[in-house]
Amino acid sequence: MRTSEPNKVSRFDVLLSNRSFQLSLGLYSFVGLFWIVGTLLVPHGPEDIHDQFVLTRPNSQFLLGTDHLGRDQFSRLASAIPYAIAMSGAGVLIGALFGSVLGISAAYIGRTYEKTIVILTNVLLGLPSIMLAILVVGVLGPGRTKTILAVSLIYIPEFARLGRSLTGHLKSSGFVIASRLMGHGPVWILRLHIISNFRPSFFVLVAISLSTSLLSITALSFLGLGVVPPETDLGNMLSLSLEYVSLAPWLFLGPSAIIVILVVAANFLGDSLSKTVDARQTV
Amino acid sequence: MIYRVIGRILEALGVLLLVSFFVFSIATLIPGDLSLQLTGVDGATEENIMRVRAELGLDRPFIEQYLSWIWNATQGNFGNSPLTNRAILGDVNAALPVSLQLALFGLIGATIVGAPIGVFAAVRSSSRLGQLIRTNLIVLLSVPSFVVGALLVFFSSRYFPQTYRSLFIRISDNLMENLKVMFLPSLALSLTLAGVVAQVTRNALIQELNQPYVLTARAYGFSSRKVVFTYALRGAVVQILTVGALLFGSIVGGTVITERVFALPGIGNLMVTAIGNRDFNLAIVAILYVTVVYLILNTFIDLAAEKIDPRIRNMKS
Repeated sequence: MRTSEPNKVSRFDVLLSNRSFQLSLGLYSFVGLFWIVGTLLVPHGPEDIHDQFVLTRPNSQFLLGTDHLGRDQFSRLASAIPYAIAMSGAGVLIGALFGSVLGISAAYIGRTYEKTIVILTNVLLGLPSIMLAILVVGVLGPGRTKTILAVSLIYIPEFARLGRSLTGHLKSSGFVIASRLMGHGPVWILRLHIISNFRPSFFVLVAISLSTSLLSITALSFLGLGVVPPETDLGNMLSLSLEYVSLAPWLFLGPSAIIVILVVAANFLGDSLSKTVDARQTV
Repeated sequence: MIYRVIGRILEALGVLLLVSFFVFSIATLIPGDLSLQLTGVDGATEENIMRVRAELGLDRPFIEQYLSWIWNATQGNFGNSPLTNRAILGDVNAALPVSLQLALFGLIGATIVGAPIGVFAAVRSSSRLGQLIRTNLIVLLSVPSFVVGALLVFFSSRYFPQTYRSLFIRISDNLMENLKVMFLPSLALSLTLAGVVAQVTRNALIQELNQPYVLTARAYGFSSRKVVFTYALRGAVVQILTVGALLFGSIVGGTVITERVFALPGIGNLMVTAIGNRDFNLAIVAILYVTVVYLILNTFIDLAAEKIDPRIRNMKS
């Protein structure tokens, strides 16, 4: 697949010239800037309680106002941002790796093992993902790690399906058969042919899944099951701000805006990656 | 056809059985059961806990618990919730219509808003406007249900207090009052789902418009309107239906959150409350109800797709 034509456009160049990718990059930079300002330049810590300033309006001292305990909303939001990004990424990656291994091995090994995996995948797909995540996090209890685990379960069946169908196709394709006839062992074939052909689709699906992962994590925390106070999360900040919506309506604008921006950025990222990979396949 | 229908139903029942086993095992095998909560902190002596566990049947082996549970379930007996001491079946049956109504209204609203946008974006997909809509759809898709719900609660309570109702009225009690209560939640859900509907419609229609038969129809000189609405849309509907599974996930997710935001006594709200109380007996049944709805819908969609699109019918027979 890889040729050394003199004026070959690299995959990254294609990506950089994609409008969606540029938009995504811009939005992530904005959130990054927000985080830098919120952690480094704002003089209050996210846990500092200013009890003489409870539920104050946004002003020059508290840019986004304060919450019911008098904590600075700006720095609390900023402190939640890296968690939101890291948790959504970790949730997808854990599910993706686990699911891919299951799917690829299922297609490669076949027989009863493959059938078991297929049935398991169908069962997981038969449950609405949010219900599965709610149940698992409910059973495990609240916390960041447990939330990540619950959300990662959503992605296992999707990636198992992808891995299995792709490996099934590849296994019977000419170059894999040729490779086997040349005496290459299964590990070699797996590494050289299957993994390398699986990689582009894998990353596209990971990127597409980032937004739903973030949404699920935020939703779990919003429901009071995922990340619970005193730990900050965009979801539980939003649900808390809703309780005070009539007294301090400015509080819920911050978390809402950051959630929407992050999801839009993730969606644009997924869009650009899938476009780039598609374009290369059709050219 | 009748054999296919029966086959599909059996298949769905099989999946349901496996899902029930899966959900039951998640909820049962993981440590931490109700006995501590029921005895209370003061009464949590070794003896008391053992007594409660025996009462609930939690001391029996897992497979026995599951078999007796599924045996009772087939007879419509899910027992009482150990926490509230009310019949689980009654609670869930009362909650399901609320959720179904919300989901239906939400979907109808989303189709009214989303489908025309999707068709327009597909027909004009190569123009600047089409691209602009595509980009905006991604943004619209990204606004989560809780944000939409939060915004609506805020704006309605502040500027249109007459639209905001905090007391729920059942549809069987008073239709008009019920519709007033359901208005805002349905609107919230519609707005969340509209992006998904538009996106799915657009993608399906574009794929259909690239088919050779569309080119043929255009070559025959049929008007663009006729090509799109009579031929391509019909093919696209099948695709839209088959990705309904994808839509269903968003509908359930949106419904759970919307019920929570607007405090509607639906099945999502019931389930989240049950999970919060570690009342897994109730939560499992709520999940299974949703799974049943999903399986019925899925089976129905598959059969309907065969009915609408002769290509699928011929492919399978």
